[in-house]
Amino acid sequence: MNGSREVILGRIRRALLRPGTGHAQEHGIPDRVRSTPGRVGATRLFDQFQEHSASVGGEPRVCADIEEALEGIQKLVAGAGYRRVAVSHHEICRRHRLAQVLSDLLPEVSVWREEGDADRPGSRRRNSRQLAQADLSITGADFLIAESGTVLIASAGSSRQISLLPTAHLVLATPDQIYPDLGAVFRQLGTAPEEGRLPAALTMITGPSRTADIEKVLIKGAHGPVRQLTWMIGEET
Amino acid sequence: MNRTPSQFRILASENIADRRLRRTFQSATGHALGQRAQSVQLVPEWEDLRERAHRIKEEAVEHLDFYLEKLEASVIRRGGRVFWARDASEASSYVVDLCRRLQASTVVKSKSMAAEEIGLADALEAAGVQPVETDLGEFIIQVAGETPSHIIAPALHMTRQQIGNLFHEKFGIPYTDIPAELCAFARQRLRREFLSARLGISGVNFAAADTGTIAIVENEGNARLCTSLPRVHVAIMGLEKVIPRFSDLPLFLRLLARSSTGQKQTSYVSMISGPRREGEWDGPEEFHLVLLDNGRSDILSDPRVRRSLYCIRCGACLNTCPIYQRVGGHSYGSVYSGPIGSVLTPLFQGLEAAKDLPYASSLCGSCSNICPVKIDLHHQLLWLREKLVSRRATPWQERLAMSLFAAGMKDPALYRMGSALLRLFLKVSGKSNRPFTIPGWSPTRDFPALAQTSFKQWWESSRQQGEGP
Repeated sequence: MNGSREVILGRIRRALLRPGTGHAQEHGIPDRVRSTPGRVGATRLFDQFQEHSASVGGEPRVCADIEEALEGIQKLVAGAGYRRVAVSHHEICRRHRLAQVLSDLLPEVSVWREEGDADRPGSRRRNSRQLAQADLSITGADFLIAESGTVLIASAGSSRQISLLPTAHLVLATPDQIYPDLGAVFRQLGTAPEEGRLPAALTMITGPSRTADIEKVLIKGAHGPVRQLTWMIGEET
Repeated sequence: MNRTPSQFRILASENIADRRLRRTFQSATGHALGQRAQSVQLVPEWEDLRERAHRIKEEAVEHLDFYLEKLEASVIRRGGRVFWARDASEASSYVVDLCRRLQASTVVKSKSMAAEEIGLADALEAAGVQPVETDLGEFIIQVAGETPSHIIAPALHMTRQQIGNLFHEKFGIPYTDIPAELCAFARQRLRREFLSARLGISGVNFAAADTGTIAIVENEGNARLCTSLPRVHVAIMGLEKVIPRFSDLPLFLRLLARSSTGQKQTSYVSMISGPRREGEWDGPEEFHLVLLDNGRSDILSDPRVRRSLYCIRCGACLNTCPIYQRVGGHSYGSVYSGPIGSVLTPLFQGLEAAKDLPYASSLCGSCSNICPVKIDLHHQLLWLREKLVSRRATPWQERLAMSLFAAGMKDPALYRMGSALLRLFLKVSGKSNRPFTIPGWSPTRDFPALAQTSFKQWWESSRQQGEGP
């Protein structure tokens, strides 16, 4: 807080011809917007997700179960020649003991897991350095948005960098995480997000990092991952 | 390279004469418009969304004091700090002081129109801090010592060969004009900066008052890096970026992405609420939000131009503007170009300093039609013209011509006499060796040929012949 605060607020109130302080009240704007008729069902929603994700260079697919996903990861790593893989602390990764299982399946690849005490600056720095070296990262998702092929990840579940620094980023998702549009996700986040359900960072990821800053030529992998993969595990429940 | 808005006429004629530049801008803006049209077509409720966004912005701007105080309280509740900056120098000093405290010799910066507006990079350099622009386009123009030519694509005016030469000369890398290779070089070089920087600077696209959440929209990932890796994150926003509710965000995100690049969603949107929480692997330990006035409260005091504060900086009005398409962003001599720049620059820098900008429009209204928050841009331009006229800031020739015209229009006899005289004058002048010219008009435009008969004569004769309208 500083001296200019009162000056600026005073100018605003004079400009709005409003004497005194803080008389304004919050007005709701009636929601007059028709919504687009949505499709229902997780499978149909994921079809829509796949269509949109693929259209921006994302690589979505469906895996019947975790075994199929593990097989897919082996092929992905071998195919691209990835040497270093980072696994997030996300619930889905822990549930399937992904780091351990992958270490066993891929003995020649170094698998790194975000673990230990995140509140110690030393371990956070070490984590950053490791992630900057990683070829592939594997994380979970918090929400998927069908309308735009978007993955939402909250900072509570995994670091922000793990989906950003490696060359490729693989998201393992489950059918219960998919929503038709961003509005539906926000409703899920709560009508009163100030009550603390909101994480420090909520990141929306739609396809790989990209730029068109040189002559409007589209290039993948500007600062973030060159490849962004989203695999849906399991049938619709 | 210091262009000012007072040079508009000179800069615009220079840029119009540059055929390559004109082609670049016309194809780039055309491409962007096509992409936008395609993605907007997929949203049948688009007009409703625009209307709703307009009303939410109206609510925020009409109660700006209320929502700013609310935003401040929410950011503080989440462990962040808020600084109110009256002008450019207050905002810059705050960031410079942060650098000093952190003993940061370099800082990483993502794209921010507000930072550009206050000349933050220059202020940091003057204080001995190296600001590293990390958006690819911004990085290119920083290395070139240039200024942005488009809100969304800052290096739009440069060719791949120019960029290739630039990197070759400045960094000693082998010449290449392959965009992917140039981009890969920048990525690698900037990675090092990200991993060592102590302070990250970002802009703000939207700030939700009820949760203290700022949203940053981008495609490259550099803003995510700026806000995740360094120990301290400072975000700079114009006062008008506040929106009432977190739940308003989906609407604005939909409108912004589709309007600016035609994407359904940009690659990344970061919604940041305060600093890193306990147990999290990264994120800044300190989060600072700078609320920048710098003339905005003055704009607020004129209800007719107040709506220019609704702008969400999508750049669609630039792309659709027949003037911008031809003269390019640099002609405006200001950070903000195109129709919205022609409104904001005179308001920020003073009408007299930018008096040609309100005239940099054909008043076709295309900007108002495309604006995702329904700012009536061409009306705002007209009002600015009206202000200029009432301050007698227009050339005396124009004032004379206008007062003669006004006199003629009020008196039919005078009108008839005046038009007869004018016709005679133009006929005689057309036959002479030195035809009549109007300075500032004739050299670039053909004067329309004089009709054989006047409208009145034509009207009367055609009515007699019974073939009138």
